[in-house]
Amino acid sequence: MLGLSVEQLRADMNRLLAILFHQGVLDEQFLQLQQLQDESSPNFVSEVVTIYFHESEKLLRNLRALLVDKELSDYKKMGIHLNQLMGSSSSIGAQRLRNVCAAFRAASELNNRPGCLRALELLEYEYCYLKNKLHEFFQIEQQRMLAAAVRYPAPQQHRNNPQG
Amino acid sequence: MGEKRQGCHMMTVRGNEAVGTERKHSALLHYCSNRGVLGISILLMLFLSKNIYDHMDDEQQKRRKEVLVGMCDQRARMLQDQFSVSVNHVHALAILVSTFHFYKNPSAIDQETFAEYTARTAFERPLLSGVAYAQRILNSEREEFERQHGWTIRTMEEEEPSPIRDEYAPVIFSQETVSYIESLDMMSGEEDRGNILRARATGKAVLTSPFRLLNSHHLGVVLTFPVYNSKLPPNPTVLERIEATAGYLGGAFDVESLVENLLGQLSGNQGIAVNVYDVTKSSDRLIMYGHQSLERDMSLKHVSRLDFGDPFRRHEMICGYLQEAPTSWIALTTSFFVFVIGILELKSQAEAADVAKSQFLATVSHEIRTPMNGILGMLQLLLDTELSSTQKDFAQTAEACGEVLITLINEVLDRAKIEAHRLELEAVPFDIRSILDDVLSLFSEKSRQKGVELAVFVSDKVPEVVVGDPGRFRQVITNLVGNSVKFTEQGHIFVQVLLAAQAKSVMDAKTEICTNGESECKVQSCIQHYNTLSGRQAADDRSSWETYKHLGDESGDASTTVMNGDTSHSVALMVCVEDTGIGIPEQAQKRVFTPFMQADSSTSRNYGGTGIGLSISNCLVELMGGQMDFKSRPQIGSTFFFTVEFRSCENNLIINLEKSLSDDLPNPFKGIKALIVDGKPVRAAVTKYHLKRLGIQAQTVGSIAKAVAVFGKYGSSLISRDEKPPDVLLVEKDLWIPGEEYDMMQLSSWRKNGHLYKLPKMVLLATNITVAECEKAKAAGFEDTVIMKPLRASMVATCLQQVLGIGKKRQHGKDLLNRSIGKSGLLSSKKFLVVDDNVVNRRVAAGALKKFGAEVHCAASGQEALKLLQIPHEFSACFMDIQMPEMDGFQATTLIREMERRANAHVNRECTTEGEARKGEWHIPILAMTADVIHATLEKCLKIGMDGYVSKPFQEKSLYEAVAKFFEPKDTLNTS
Repeated sequence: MLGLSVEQLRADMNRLLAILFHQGVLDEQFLQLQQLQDESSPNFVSEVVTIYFHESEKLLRNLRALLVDKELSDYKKMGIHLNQLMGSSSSIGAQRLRNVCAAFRAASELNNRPGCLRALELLEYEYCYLKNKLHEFFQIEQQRMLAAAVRYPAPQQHRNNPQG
Repeated sequence: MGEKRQGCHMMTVRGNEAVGTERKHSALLHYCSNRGVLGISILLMLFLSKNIYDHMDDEQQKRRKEVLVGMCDQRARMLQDQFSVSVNHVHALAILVSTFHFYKNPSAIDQETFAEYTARTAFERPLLSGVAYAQRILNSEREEFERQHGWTIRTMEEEEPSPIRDEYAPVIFSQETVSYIESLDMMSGEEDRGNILRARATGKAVLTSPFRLLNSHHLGVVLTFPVYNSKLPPNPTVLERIEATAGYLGGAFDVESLVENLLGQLSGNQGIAVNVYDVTKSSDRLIMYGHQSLERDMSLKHVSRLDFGDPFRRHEMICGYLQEAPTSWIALTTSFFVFVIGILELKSQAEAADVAKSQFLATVSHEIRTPMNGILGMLQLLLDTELSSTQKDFAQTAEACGEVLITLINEVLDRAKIEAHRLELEAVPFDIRSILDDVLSLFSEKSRQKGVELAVFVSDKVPEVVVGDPGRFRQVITNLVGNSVKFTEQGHIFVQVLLAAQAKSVMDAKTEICTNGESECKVQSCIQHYNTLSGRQAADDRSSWETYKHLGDESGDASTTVMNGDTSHSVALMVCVEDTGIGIPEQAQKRVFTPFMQADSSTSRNYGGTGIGLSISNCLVELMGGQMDFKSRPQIGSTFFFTVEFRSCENNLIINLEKSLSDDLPNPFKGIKALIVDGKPVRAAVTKYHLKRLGIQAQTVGSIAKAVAVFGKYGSSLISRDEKPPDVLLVEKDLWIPGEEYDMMQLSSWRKNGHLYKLPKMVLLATNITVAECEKAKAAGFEDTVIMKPLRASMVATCLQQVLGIGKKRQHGKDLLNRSIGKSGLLSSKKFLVVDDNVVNRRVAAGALKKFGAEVHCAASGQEALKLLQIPHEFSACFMDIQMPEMDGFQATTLIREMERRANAHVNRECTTEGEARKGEWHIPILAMTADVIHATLEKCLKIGMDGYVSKPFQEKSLYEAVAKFFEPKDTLNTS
């Protein structure tokens, strides 16, 4: 029974990933990330993503603060934050977030305050969506690992493919 | 997948339509890649400049008109003034006559007085040719009058005594200029009569309509004043006036000379034509002055009204320019300049757009590449899993398509780079022959499937090693050969490399032959079995046997010329790729080098491809200092040829390179002799060339019978000679298959009988061979081996090694060595530094590197990196983000290099006693990490002192490749 649920969970994960890929939320960089995960660093992806969320939240807070200050929006600083966010987003393969960042940066380069605000809202929305979905994803993975650990403590197959 | 391919074709076709037929690669045409836009832009410019011209011309016309109006009015006013002055004076004369002739009794005026007075006052009436006074005589008074004066009244026309009328108006006084009219009855003339009647009825000066004056034959008018004999009542009726009339004073205006004089006084009359008309009857305008028939520009005229004092008559003056308005040069030049400036503007815009387009293409191509890599990677992973055979087939097809797409994108990127002038050529020494072998091996499978003979020949005169860009050279050749393979179904594809000078002399020789008897040449070529590689006709007859003879003559002393040639000269090569494919239709030949142009859209449907390759090749060849051209005849084939400039290599480098080359082309064949049996000289020459590269002495005979004869010579009598018989016998398949069974049997029987000193190994050369044929060949004695064409030196070498059983061990060892260097092994126990301000990026990079077994340290900023890289440090390489706040990657690199230089200088100073060998010890490889391939291109990174770059977000494979470059060669050197 437990073995079956492992497969079930794996299928769930794949389905979720497929949806995220289809929606363009994630791109193949996320798969690259997954490939880097192996026995030596079994939590690599979730570790990176956690760092990513931590950093991004900080950046989003800063961006919000910069934009709320009506008179003195420091667009240059905003650009630096956005570059950061863009860089890390593309590193984990958060494609849609990255694209919104690009739009945001374009707006900030033009000192377009309303555009920036709109972009920020979208960014926050996308961020929440991504966070929820990835959270779900990691939860399933955790369950799967637990299930797998109960039944088969041996190292997982198909994880480190030297051909990749 | 079918759908995908369809889409691809659609794109191509659309591309074809959009590009149109422009051939030039000028920026303008590129900008207006669609002809409509260009046309509209030029039309717009034309329209604008036309408008400007029209406007300026209008202005000029207006000014001209104004001038005309001014001149016309001025002339009319002057004429009118002078006229009225004269009229006034005639009026005064009338009063004079009435005062002194009628009121005085006896009359104080006689003809003499009148003549004298009028003559002396003539200056007052410059316009009148003369004045005269006619008295009113009723019929009843005629006799009395005639008697008194002593003459009879005569008519004007016949000058004969007048018939009897009611009244007469004979001239009694006249100015001397018109004395001939004395005694003429003025009322006998039609015009004058009307004038007289009107004058006495109105009491005013009246004018006749213009007529030819009596003796001058100038056009003129007669002015008539009535003279009354008694004082009239204040408001006299017409009857009272007639009753009181005593006579008439008349004067003739010579209008013609009048106006002539007048105009003479005025300036600027040369360009102006003046006509004066009597328009009393509007339907019938009578000319008073001017030439009706004169051709002139009447498009512009002005009419001025003239008032000569006679209310009954109306006159007008019409002025026009004699000549057409001159073309206004200013307007013309101005508009022309506007047009030119406009076009220049358009051009510069187009150029800007062109650069933008190239940038865009480069960016977009990159953007497409990233997801494509994803797709391919996924497909590869998919292929690693367990699939059913159908699934596997699908996945493999998808992968193949993806690779084709990637290639296409790379090509587009190439073109964009060339256009944005971002492509730079390498200058490294390389071996042309091995590159050609590589290209051949790429297509060998395909050509074998089609049964097309593929061969390469490099002239002996071409140096072993040249300096240039091997990658681009290979790209061009690959493209050309690829095209040929694609479009050729039977016959051959033949790649030839000659020195340009050599090729030229051959060509000259050939044109000589052809010009001497062109028709003969043609006829011959129709009948003759063509002397090409496969015996089929080719578009350009360059590889015919004449050429070979030519080359053969020269090749004897070739090696010596190369040896004492100068060291760093430029080497101009002529490469030609000949095929016997479908050829290029005449009408399409012009646009072969235009991107996305295939011969026609059906081509892309039948053969696939986009047609961008040739244009890129053309660009590359131009970059390499050469030119590309082709000859093609439909259904016969195409020959593409191009020249390239390489530099010849310096001697020490040659030695270096030869060492490494000798590795992959083992040379244990010294002293081995071969006999080639081939009926086709060109093909035999190719085989000979490959054998020669291996150091094998080769001899050619045309048939098996001849070969048998050769062996017979050795076999029967001359064993004792120093010369040994050939070790290998290479036979072309088509020479054997037709069934010279007998000869073969003889040969093999000899073999069996041990007739020969040493049995020659028998090798069959074939393009394609069926299993049955293979069996047959084995039976016939070719049990040794069959070499599948296309021939490549390395392949021939392996085959012959097998056959002759010599030196294989070395090769083996190396292969094993190569295999043992796995991914993880390479980077293990290396220490890397990753510098990135972004935590996530840092973590990902570290993760990727760790996977290769490396130890990774991270730095969050340039400063931190500097601290970590204080010499001495243990890092093997450093990954540096370019975009970082405060200190960016470029700055950090510069500082690191500075630091290293100082340390090295220090070390060198200390170690001078030990020798200079330890120079430049500290140099950490720095690899840039950037998300932006276009802006931070490799050049900039290299300039600043970096050693390479990895694009972000990085992929395991590219990351590995980038790093491996720095460690692999060292490792192989150490271990080998």
